[in-house]
Amino acid sequence: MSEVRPKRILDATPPGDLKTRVMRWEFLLLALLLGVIVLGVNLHHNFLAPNHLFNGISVFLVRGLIALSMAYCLLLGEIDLSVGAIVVLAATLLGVVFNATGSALLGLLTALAVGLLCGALNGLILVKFRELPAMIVTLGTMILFRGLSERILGPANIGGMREVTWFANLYHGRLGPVPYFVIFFFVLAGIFWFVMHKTTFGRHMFAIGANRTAAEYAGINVGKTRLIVFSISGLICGISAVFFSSWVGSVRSDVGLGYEIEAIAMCVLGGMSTAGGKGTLPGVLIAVFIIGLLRYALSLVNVNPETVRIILGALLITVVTMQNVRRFVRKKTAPAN
Amino acid sequence: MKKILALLLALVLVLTLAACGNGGPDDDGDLTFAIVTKSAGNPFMERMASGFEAASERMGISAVVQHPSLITAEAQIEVINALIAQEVDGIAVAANDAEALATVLQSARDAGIAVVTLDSDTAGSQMFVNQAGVREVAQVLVDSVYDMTGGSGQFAVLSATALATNQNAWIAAMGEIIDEDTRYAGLEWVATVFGDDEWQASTDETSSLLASFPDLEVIVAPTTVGILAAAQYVQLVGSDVLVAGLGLPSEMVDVVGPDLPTPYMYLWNPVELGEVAAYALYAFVNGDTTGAAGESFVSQGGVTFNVIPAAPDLGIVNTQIIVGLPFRFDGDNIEEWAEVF
Repeated sequence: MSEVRPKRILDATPPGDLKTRVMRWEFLLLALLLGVIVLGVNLHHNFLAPNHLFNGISVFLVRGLIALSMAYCLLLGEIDLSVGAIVVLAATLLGVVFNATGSALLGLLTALAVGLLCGALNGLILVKFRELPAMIVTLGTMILFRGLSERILGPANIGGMREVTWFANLYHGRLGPVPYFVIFFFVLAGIFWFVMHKTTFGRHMFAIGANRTAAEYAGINVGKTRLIVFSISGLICGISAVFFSSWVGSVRSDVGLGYEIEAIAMCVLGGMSTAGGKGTLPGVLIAVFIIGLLRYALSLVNVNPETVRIILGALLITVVTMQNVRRFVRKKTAPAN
Repeated sequence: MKKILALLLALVLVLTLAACGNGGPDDDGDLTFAIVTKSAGNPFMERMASGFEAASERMGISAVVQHPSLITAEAQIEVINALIAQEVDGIAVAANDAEALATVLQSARDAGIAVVTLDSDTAGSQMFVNQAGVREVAQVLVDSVYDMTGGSGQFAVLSATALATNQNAWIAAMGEIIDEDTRYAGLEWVATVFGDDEWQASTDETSSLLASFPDLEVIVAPTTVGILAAAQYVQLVGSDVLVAGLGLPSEMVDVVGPDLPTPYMYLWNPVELGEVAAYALYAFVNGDTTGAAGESFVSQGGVTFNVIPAAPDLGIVNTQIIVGLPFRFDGDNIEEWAEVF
């Protein structure tokens, strides 16, 4: 594997001959996605009915958004456990500001600012205390942010956002059968793909994830990159909080529970290495839809949540171990690579 | 090797398909009702769902029980979205949030699905199936006091917090009932105290009630925390004071019965609550009611229900029907119900 890494640093996109392309992770993921769709159609005749399907997709994209920025964190070899807590804190303050001023726009801006600030706080701590692992720092801020939200809201909810039409339409509005939100998601995913695979910043992320010390010696500003990535992660959580509030129209302190687990699962299934330096954004994008659509398909035949968890867990383990089998196979059959 | 992998993948998929490909429950013209609980693993909710299932099946209707994956409104919305896509005919939901389900329930109704709430109300439903009316609860509490004092004597109320909506409504209604009927003229209401729904605070309040009012005969606690703390304290110090109120059978099993601090107590019957929700959905689907206040309908269980107005100050935003009288637990049935919830 050590032979593969430097190659990836120089060229983020893998080589393009047919043999390797067929063996690419994204190809297998696409096959799996197709399998999930076939399964869904088989399970219920309404699976592909556009209205219902887009309802289902919008629901998991609120979490899927976070998989995009989580992919960047993992690419650096870091992790952000505080994402769900940032979502709830941003949504909480959105609600508080909306309640106090009556302005949904001010609430929206507050959520974005809170997200960005929380993410920047994570980043600053990590840059200032370089030896602290991100897992521990973001575990701390996760507890802190959710605690703040619980303190502010107590057992109550803040609502009323639904009455503001334009705000409710952020999530519920549609262009034909397609929600604006889904379009927004794909535009955002496109930007994330471009930055990761086509820019210097993207190459820096790959380099830092592959070998931080080497990247530092190569003149890459590691601290700045980490700060930016964690700030992006926070900002995306703020965006997720805005869409959540537009969707549900009411905020409680239990918002965003388990988002971190789901986002990490989507990334890992998508082929992001938790050790850093490896993975592609299209892989993550496909994985978001595999997990989301599988969940949706199972819900159409009322599979209970415990069973859904078992199936998702088994799928994740199977697919991730298969990834290593594949690597092993490639090493055996093509030692020259 | 590639082929083997691809084959393996295909095999897994085909097997999954074969295992699950039995299709949805609809499409045959029969009715399907669904109940969405607050969470899985909650005995009260499980019993409620089983009552719903049983009543649906008695009416020849397929029943779907769905527990959300988390105790959140978000998880409930996911479940309800899926039920709308399945084209079920009725949805009963115990709401995890007073507002959050409004949009999704409206979409359900737009799709022609009947929607009722039970246990906890939320905007967007057509009717709230109320476990017990304020007046009915207050009546059994007053009657417990009347019975346990033998018709006259001192009693005190041990409530939750001073701001608890339900408890305050019951206590106010108790006062009205006592004032209205001369039968209760012998009852002397000496104090109303608040244990904040905390075991320790409720115990402290009980202890000071016993000290301040030596002639006290009954403590009535319209809260599951209060009644437990009071009954345990009374038992501990060996006082003759009796404890009445609303309690959870599983918590109260050791203190309810003859010669124990609580001869009997009340709470709602979750099974019946679920049953009535299924009957209410059927009444909507069958056109027996539109859910407007002032209407009445005879349920498939043979009971007449009157639709009464909403009570926003109690968190009930839709018109409602009252399931019935609170359910009585005593020495004869407490063991059995303690297993349930």
